[in-house]
Amino acid sequence: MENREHLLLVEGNSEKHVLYTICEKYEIPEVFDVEVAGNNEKARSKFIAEIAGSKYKKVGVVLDNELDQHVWDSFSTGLTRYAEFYEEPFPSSPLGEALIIRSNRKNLTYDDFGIWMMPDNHSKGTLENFLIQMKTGHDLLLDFSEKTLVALEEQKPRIHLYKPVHRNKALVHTYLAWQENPGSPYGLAFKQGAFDLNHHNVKALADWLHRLFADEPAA
Amino acid sequence: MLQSLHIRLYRQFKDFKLDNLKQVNLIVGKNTVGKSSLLETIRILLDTNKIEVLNDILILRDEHHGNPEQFIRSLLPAWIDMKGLLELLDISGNNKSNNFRTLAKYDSLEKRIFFNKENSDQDNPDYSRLNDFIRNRDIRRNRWSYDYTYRYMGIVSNTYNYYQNLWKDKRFSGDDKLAIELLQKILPELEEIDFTYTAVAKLKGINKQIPLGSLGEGFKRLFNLALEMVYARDNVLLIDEFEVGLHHSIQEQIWDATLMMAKELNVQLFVTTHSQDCIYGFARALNKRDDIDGQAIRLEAHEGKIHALAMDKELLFTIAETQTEVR
Repeated sequence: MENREHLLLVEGNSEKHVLYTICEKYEIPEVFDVEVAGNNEKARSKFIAEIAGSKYKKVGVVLDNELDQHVWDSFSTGLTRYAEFYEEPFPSSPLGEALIIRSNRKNLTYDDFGIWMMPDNHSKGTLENFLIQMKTGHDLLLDFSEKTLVALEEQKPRIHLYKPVHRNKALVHTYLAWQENPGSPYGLAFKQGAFDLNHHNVKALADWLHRLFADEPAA
Repeated sequence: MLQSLHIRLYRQFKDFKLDNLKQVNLIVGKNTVGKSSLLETIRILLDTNKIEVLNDILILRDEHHGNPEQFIRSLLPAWIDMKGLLELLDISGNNKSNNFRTLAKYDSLEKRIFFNKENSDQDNPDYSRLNDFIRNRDIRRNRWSYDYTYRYMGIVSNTYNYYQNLWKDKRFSGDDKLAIELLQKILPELEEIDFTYTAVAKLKGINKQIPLGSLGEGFKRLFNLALEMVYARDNVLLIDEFEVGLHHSIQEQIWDATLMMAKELNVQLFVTTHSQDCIYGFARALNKRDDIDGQAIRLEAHEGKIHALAMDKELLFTIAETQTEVR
């Protein structure tokens, strides 16, 4: 699976498996490697380095939209060094459409690159927010999961162990615990119908991958 | 300091520009893309002995021919039609101190080669000297017989004997401590080099002198590097394949010392490499210093044109930290 022409960087393994599922469903050509960077900061650094790197042509990154403006500014400044190679300026804010910057040096190392911000390139959030949007007719189940967490968090003394930043993760895993196949990991849960693969935001992500790596919209 | 370079019609380069040259420039890229050719153009630009340097370049490349036309053809892109082209070689650079502009022209009609500096006599034909060079094997073999205005380290190391002769010229005095410091990166016990008879090293705590020749190729390469840095004071040092003979694990340390010397001795460096560890070592060493600027430049060929992609200090550090392939 290594040594494809292009590279997609993700923060963690969960993203990787969700993306594999989406790629399979939307028949995205297998022209890119998926590399797990470890966290948001590492993914941003690796992304900036890989644009200059010689192993891959196009580079995409899927990031959680948890960046403060100053973090985005420094990320954006890191990208500005490449400005002469690209047709459009870099956005000054992370909010908006999924980003694809086209290179004026096609087939050289500084080829096209793209950024997808979880969950929808607009709202703040993570992979879990992306998943929560796609609950498939299990609204009651998700509502009950949410109520369960609230009840848990009201316990005195405190018995839950997760940090506030991981609350969404706890919510999604709780929701997945009560599926027909309890406790499936995200990618598999997608396939088993716990999330809706036809959701417009999944389509948007598939479309971004298609346009970035295959130069065409998703089928 | 050489600040920019513009090359037309030299080997792979049709029309190639490098702006924003830094004090330390590491050149990377695949085989045959033009890394060594780039160093050659800098030699042609900086050298005051034009014919000698062209001659030397061809000898190093095993390309030396017996007639003037072939001699020049070797330096030009293969697709060039010799007939009717008046200006074939054109390498110019912007040098802060000297405002260098050197032209090498070949007039195919009169079979003359011109090597002029701006403001000098443009019509001074040097063809007779060229002929001497091409036909006289003794002169051709004597590569190091003329004075450089810059220093050049090829892939093959110079012998200790070569430097012993330079040492006698007392061109090494004053800066030897820096050179010893660099050599200590590979041989920490080193105390002193003695050139009086054969070249020997005196090591700390050992009463015996050790012949430098017994210390291996890596030490010899580093010895070349240390002394060339000293001789390149206030000038340019070109190094083809920095990593030759050096273990990958010590690249960063060697770059630490090289950058220290480049700063102290005011040397501008143009260095080629194929080694990822050399690039990472350079990036990490460079990142430690605020007082010297450097970059890596990757040459890439695409549709018959050579492109230069520059990687600045900060980007290089990110590249090293993320172990990204940039060769």
